[in-house]
Amino acid sequence: MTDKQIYELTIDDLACSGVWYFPMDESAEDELTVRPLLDKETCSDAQIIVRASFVGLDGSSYLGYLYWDGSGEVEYLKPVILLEDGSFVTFWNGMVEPSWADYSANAQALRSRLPFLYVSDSVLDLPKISGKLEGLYYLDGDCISWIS
Amino acid sequence: MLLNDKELRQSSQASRAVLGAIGAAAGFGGAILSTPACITGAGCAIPAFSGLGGAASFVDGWQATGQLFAPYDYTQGSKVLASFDSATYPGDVNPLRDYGTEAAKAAMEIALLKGAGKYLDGSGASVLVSGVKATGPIVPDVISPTYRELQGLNKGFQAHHTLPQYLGKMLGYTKNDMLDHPATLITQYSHTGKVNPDAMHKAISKYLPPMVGGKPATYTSGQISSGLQKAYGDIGRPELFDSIKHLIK
Repeated sequence: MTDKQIYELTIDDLACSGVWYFPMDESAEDELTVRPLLDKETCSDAQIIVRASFVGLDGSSYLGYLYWDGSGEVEYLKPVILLEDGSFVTFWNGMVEPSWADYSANAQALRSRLPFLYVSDSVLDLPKISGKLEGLYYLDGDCISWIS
Repeated sequence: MLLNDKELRQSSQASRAVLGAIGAAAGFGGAILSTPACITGAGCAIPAFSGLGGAASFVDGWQATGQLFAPYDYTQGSKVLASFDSATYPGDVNPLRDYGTEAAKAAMEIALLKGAGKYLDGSGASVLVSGVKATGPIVPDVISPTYRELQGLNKGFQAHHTLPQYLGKMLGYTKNDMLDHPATLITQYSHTGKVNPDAMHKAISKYLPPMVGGKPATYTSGQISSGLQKAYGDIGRPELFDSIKHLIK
C-alpha cells in the first residue's frame, strides 16, 4: 500500500490498515499525505488517524475515521464517515459553514439518521475515543455551531 | 577579513546561540545530535550531547543570544541563572520555550548571512538588514529562514512550512516555489504531536481542515489569511503569520 492524500482514503484502505499517520517529512507530498502505520515506533509523536465506527439513530452503521486526540473535542477529532460510493461526510468544517446540499446524495441520506454515536478502534495503547455527533460542525466566529 | 568587528561578533554569537539551542533540545531529550557543518569555525566538531551536555549547551546558547540581541544589557546573565530555578525564573511560563523564541531570532540572523558556508569562505559579507526597507519586491515585516535553508538542519526536528503546502497550492505556488518560503524548525511533537494540544497542524486544521463539505477543501486567500492568523495566534506564535502574510494574495 502506498501513500495517499487523506481525501483519497476509502473504506478498503481502512479495512487494510486501521491506523494511518502523517509523515510530515521530505518523503511526503505535503501535509495531507497519510501512510499506513506498520511500526508504531516510527511515529510516536506523529498525528494519526484511527478507524472508527459510527452508528445512527436508526441503528445503521458506517465506517470512517477520526484524528486521534486526547481532548475529545470535535474540532480536533474531525470525524469522517466514508461511504461505499467513495463519497464522505466531514463532520468538522472549520471556518466554512457547511450545507447538506453540498454533499453527495448518499451522504445526504445520513442526515435523517442523526445523531451518530462513534467509537474509535483501540490502537497503540491509546484509549478509544467515543462521542456523539449532532450534525455538521463549524466555527461560527469564535463559537462552535452545527447544522443538523 | 573585511567584516566590521561588531558584525563579526554578532554573527558569531548568533551561530553559538542556534547551536546552543539545538544542543539543549537534543540534550534534554536524550538524543544524539550531529550537525551537517560547524558554523562557529572551520574543522570543528559538535559532540554528542548528554542531558548534562544539553544543559551546558543551553547556557552557552542563551548567553550568546543575549549578547547578540542585547549586547550592553548585563542583566541577561542573572536572568539566565534565575531561569534555572522555578522559584526565580523571571518569565511566566517556561524558560525553554522562551529561549526558543530567542534562538529563532538567532536562526533568522544566520539565514540572513546565507549560511555558514558563505560566512566561512569569505563571501558572507554583512547583510544584517533587519528593519531596512528595500525597493522593488515586497519586503515582509518579519524575515524568516526559508524551508530550503532549514531542511538540511533538521536532524531530530522537522521543518514546518509556515504557509502550509496544501494551502500554498491553493494560492498557486508550486512545491519548488515553497522551498523558498519561510519555515521554522520544530520538534515533531510541536509540529503534529497527537498528544500536544498546541501542535501547529492541530491549530491550523481547526480553522482550515483539509476536507470541507464532503470534498477536498478549497479556500480563498482571505480564508487562508484569516485562518492562519487565528491559528498562530492561538498557539502564541503570531510572528509566524507576520512572516508569511505577504505571500497570501
